[in-house]
Amino acid sequence: MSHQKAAVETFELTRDFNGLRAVSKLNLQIEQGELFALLGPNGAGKTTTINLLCCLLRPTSGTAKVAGFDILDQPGEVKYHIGVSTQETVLSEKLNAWENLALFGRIYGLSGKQVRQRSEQLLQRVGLLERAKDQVKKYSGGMKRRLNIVTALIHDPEVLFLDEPTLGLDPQARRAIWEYISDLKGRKTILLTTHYMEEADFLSDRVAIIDRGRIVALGTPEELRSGFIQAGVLKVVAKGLTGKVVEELRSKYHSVEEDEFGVKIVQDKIDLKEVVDFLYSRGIEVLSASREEPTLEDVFLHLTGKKLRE
Amino acid sequence: MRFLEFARRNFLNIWRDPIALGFLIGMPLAFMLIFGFAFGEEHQSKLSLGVINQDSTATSAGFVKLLKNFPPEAPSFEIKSFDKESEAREEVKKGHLLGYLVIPQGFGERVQQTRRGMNSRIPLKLVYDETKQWVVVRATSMTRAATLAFAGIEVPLDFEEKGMQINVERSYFNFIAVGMIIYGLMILIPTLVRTMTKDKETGFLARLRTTPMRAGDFLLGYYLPMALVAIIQIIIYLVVAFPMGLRVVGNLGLAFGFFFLCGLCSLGFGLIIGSLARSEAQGEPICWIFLVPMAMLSGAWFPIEGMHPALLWLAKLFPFYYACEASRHIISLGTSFSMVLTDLLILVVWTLISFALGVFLFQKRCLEP
Repeated sequence: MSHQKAAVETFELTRDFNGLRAVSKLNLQIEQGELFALLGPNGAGKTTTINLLCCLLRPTSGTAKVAGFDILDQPGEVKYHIGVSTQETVLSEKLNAWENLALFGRIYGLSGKQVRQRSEQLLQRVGLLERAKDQVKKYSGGMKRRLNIVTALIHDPEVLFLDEPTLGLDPQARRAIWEYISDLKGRKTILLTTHYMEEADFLSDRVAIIDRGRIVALGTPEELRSGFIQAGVLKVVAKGLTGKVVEELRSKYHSVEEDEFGVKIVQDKIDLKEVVDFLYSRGIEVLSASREEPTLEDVFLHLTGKKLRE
Repeated sequence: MRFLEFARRNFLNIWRDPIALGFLIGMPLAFMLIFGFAFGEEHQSKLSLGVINQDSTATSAGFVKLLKNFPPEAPSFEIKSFDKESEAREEVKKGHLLGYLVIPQGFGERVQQTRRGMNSRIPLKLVYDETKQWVVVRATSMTRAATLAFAGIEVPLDFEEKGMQINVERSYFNFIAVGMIIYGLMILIPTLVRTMTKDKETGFLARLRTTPMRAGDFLLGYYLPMALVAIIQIIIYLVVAFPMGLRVVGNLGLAFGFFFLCGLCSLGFGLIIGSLARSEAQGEPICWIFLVPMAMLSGAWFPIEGMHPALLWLAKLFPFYYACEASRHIISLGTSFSMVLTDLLILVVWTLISFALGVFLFQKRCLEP
C-alpha cells in the first residue's frame, strides 16, 4: 500500500514510436481520490500515456509511479493496484457477466465467495444484475461498456484508468456511465481520457489538455475557462459567407471555426465592431454577432488552433 | 489459480461457438464419412507385390522388368524384388505388400518352349493376405496379360494361390480413419491461432496484460482447454469410426496416446504461429500454408511411400509423419509399444520443442512491453 499522497506521478515520461514522439516529457501529479481527465483529440497521446502507466508500454525515457510503485522497477506491484477499462470493450462475448467478472476476480486472487459478493454489488450498481446470466453478446453497447468498467473494479483497485469510457455511445448511455463514474469520485483515484469536452467538464476535478504528446494547459475546468476569459469568443451569424472571406478572417484572427450559419472567432481582446465592419466591407450580410462564454472546446481551439474532434 | 480461470474462459469460448466446434469436429468427421462410404470396401489402384525371381535368366529378368511397368499407360503393379521368400513374407505381414509372386526356376526355358510352339505350362506361385481375396483376381489376370505381352503368345500359367493368414486389419478405411483423426488434430493449429489472434485484435490480451497474469498463466490458459478439446476430438472420432468399419488390432490406449501427442504437437505449432501473427487475417493463411502441406506430407490423406525421396525426407522432419505411421501400425498391424518407441520419443521431443518455442515467442512478441 502506498503512503504517498500522489496516486500517479510522472517524471519526464516520454515515448517514441519509430521516431515519432507520442508522449513528450510528461510531468503529472494526480492526488489520491482525484478524478483527472486527459483531454485531447485522437492521436494526442492519451492512450499511450495510459498504456505507459499500466506497464503495457515501456517509456523511451522518464518514468512514473502509480500507487507509489515505479512502472519500470515494480510493474507487478503496479498491476495489482490498478484497474483498467480500455477503449475497446474487451469482454468475452460468449461468457455472461458473472463469468466475465469471475475471470478478472480470480486473476486478482479473490476467492469464489469474494467474487460473488463483489460482482453482485457492482452489477447492482450499474444496473446489470437482472441480465447477469445472459451472454455478453446479447448486451447493448452501453451495457457492455458498463460491464467493461466494473471488470476493472472487481478487485477494488486504488487507481482506475478509464480510456475513453463513453466512446461511441449514445447520449443516454453516456449519461448513465457519467453517473456511475461520478459515484466513484473521491473513493478512487481516476485517470480518464476523453475527447469529449463536456465529459471532462462534467466529471473531472482537474483537466490536462494534451496535444501532440504535450500538456498545453492544466487546471480545474473552471480555472481553464476563467484563465481564458480575457480571450473573447465571438459568434457571428452571416449570410453569403464565402470560403475566400473565411480564409481572410483566418489570416486576421487566431482561431476561426466555420459552421453552416456563420463563423466562431476565438481571439484575445476581440473587437466586435471591427469584425462586423470587415464582413460588411466584403459584402457579407451580418444577421447577428454576439460574445459567448468560452467552453473547454474553445480553450482547446485557442491553444492548439484545431477542434477536439479533428 | 489464474490460468485455470483463463483456461475455463477459453474453453467456454470454443464450446459456445458452434462454428468453431463444427470446424474442429465436423470437418474431419465429414471427411471420414465420405471416405468411409467410398472406401469401406477395399479398392486400390496399384497392387504392391513382391517378386522372388528364382530363375536367374535374362528372360525372367525381362519379365520382372515388364511387370514393373505394365501396362505402360497405367502400371498396375508396384513391384519390389526380394531374394528370399521369407523377406517378402515379412513385408506382407507388416502390411507393406499385398502379396508376392514366386517365379520358379525354369521359367525362362518354358517361355522359350512356348514360343517355339511346344505345349509347356508355367507354374507361378502367388502368396497373398487371405483377407484380401480380390488381390488374387487382379494379380492373376494382370500377370496373364503381362505374360501374353511379354511372350507374344498366350502362355498357359498354372497359379498356385496361397492365402496367408495374417492377424492384421489393413482396409483402406482403417488407413483413412487414422489419417482423418490426425488431420482433425492438426486443425487445432488454426483454432488456437484464431483464439490467440482474436484476443490480440480485440485488445483482450492487452487488457489481461494490465493484470497480474504471468506468462505461464497465459500459456496454460490457452493450452489446457485445447488439450481437453483434443481428447474430446479423439473420442468422438473413434466413436464414429468404429461403426464405419475401423478395426483395431493393437492397443487402442497406445494409439490414443499417439493421437494425443499429435494434438499437443499441433498446439505447440499453434502457439508459435499465434505468437507470430498480429491478426486473425494474418494468422489464418499462415496456418493453412503450413497445415495443408503438413497433412499431405504426413500421409494423413494418402499413402506417401511412393513420394519423391526428397519429399519423404522432408516429411520425416515433422512429427505428424510419425504420428500417422505409428498409430496406423498400432491400429492395423498390432505393433507393440517397443516397436513404436522411437516414434513416441520423436513426438515427445517435438511436443516439448514446439511448446518451448511457442513460450519463447509468446513472451517476446506478446508480453514484453
